[in-house]
Amino acid sequence: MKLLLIEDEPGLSQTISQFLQSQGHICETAITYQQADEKIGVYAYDCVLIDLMLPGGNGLAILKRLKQDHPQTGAIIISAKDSLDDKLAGLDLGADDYLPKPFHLAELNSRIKSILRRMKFEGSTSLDVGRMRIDTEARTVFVDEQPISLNRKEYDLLLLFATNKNRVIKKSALAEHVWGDQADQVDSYDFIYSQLKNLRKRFSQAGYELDIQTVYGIGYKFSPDC
Amino acid sequence: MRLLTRSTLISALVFFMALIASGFYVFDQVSQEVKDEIDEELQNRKLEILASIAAHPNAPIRQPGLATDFQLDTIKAATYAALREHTEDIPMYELVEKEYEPHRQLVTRFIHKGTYYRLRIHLSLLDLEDMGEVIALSTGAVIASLLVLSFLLNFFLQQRLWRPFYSTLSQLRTFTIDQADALRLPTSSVHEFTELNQTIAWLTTVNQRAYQHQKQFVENASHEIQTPLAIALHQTEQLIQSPALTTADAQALDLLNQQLERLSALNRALLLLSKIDNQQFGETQTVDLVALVRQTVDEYEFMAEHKGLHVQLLTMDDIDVLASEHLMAVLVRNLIRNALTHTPAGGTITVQVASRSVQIENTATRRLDQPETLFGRFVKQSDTAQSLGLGLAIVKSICDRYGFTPSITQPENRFRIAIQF
Repeated sequence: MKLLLIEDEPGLSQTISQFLQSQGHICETAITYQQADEKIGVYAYDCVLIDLMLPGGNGLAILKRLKQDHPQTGAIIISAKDSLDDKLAGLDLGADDYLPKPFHLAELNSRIKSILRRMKFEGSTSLDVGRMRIDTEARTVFVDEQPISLNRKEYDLLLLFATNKNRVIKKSALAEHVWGDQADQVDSYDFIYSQLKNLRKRFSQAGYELDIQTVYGIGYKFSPDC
Repeated sequence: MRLLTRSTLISALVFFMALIASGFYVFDQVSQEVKDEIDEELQNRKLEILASIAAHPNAPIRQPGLATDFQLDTIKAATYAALREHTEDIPMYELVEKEYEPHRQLVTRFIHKGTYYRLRIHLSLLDLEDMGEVIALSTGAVIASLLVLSFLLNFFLQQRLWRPFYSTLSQLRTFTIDQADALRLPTSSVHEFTELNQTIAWLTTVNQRAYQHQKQFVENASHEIQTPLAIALHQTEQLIQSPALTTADAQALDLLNQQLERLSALNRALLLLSKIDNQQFGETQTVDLVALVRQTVDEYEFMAEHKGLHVQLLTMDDIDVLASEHLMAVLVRNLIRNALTHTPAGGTITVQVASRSVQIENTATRRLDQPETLFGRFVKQSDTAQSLGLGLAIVKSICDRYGFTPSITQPENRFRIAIQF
């Protein structure tokens, strides 16, 4: 997939684009409003990541132009401001998602994949991971077409693993993905262990072993059977 | 006591003493004058009597009748020699008043045809006594009216002259450093008040500006710190993907990651605090607290389960609060997470919503000496090294923002935080 990252912080731009390339995407970068405007005018992208505060202009103007010229291109706002007004304005202009900084790369990955899935497969909302199929619209999971009943948190956990397969996901990323913003406290993430145990149990009851392993105590890695 | 009242009282006291002294002084002066006058009169009378004796040398000298103002006595030569002319005060019986009244008496001597005489002439001093009375009374009247006048003046000045001062004072009393509008100080033609108001206006403006800068500084600093932190966190996330990682490297990376996440959480908490303080959560809506509390308790059920805690939710009343929904969610979440974090394994947590308050009570490990300090920033009670010490500070900030009253009590072996809405 071809992505455009509009981000004025060179360091951040570099780490995100490296990550996206490691995920098999082609990632171009723009660090000013002018550059972003030119690139959008010339090339077509599958998904564009837009930082709102840019030297030379506001990212919302770029978003507006993008959605006019290429309504099929996905757009994610990545903003350091985390303001409700910006979020609403962005979604109003057709942004597909809003991700406040700082975010985990695994989270970004999951969001991008979700948008690409919707964009590329004309609304097909099915995600196949080995013998497992996840219907992201109905939020249901099947193994060999046999439904697995999961509660909301278990489903959210699974989806993050499925969109980041074979990658180590930090415990903090899992916690934030499922339990939301942890702005004010730092917890020990021990409870994730018991949550994962429950998740594995759901699948083993259906005769499927979910291969989620802890990696050096930093995080967990899902290695699907394919 | 008001300055004006005090100054009036002091000046009234001084005037009071001065007037009394002046009363005595006036009385003394007047009585001196009157005595001189009377003495002169007595001398006059003496000369008259002596002249009339001289005019009729052959007329026998005898004691005058009752109605006269003098007495004549014949005295011995020795007494004559000892007698010196003098005046003295004597009491005399007055028929009208039926009492003794003070009189002035001139005692003198003369020789007439070889006989020694003593002459005593007296005059009533009643006039002088009346005069003293009049002086005392009028002085008293002057004192009384001056006092009344000064209190009236005091009242009037308080009302008029000092009005700008009291207006300034009442504004200062309600002044808070983070209020949006500047003080509207009254104009005054009094130099001191104008100067006072100018100084206050300058001082408050400077302080407000400094406060704004400081608030803005924290927010800007947090924003600036965010980017390098994000990059560092992304790099650790990428590094842990490496299959070639040794266990030692992974451990170092884990520690590094933990510290970065801690820093990041700290930064986000500071950003949140400064946003609350900067009133950047403008929109308020009606928030159903019971629903919010129930949802939050449900959401953190996993944590309670993990620690083996028993959570009890009691909702008596519906409480609707007009506030930012986001901030109310943060408030409730922080309270519940605080309880979950600090309750020892196997303990109980009781969340109670009743009579416009939310109470969260949990089993406590120990009693704290000054529990209210936990609302301060970077104050930690816990032994968990992970705690930032900002959770309850955020709760306090939100309460301050909306005028809620947070309190901490410790009923036997339990720890209770209550928020009164």
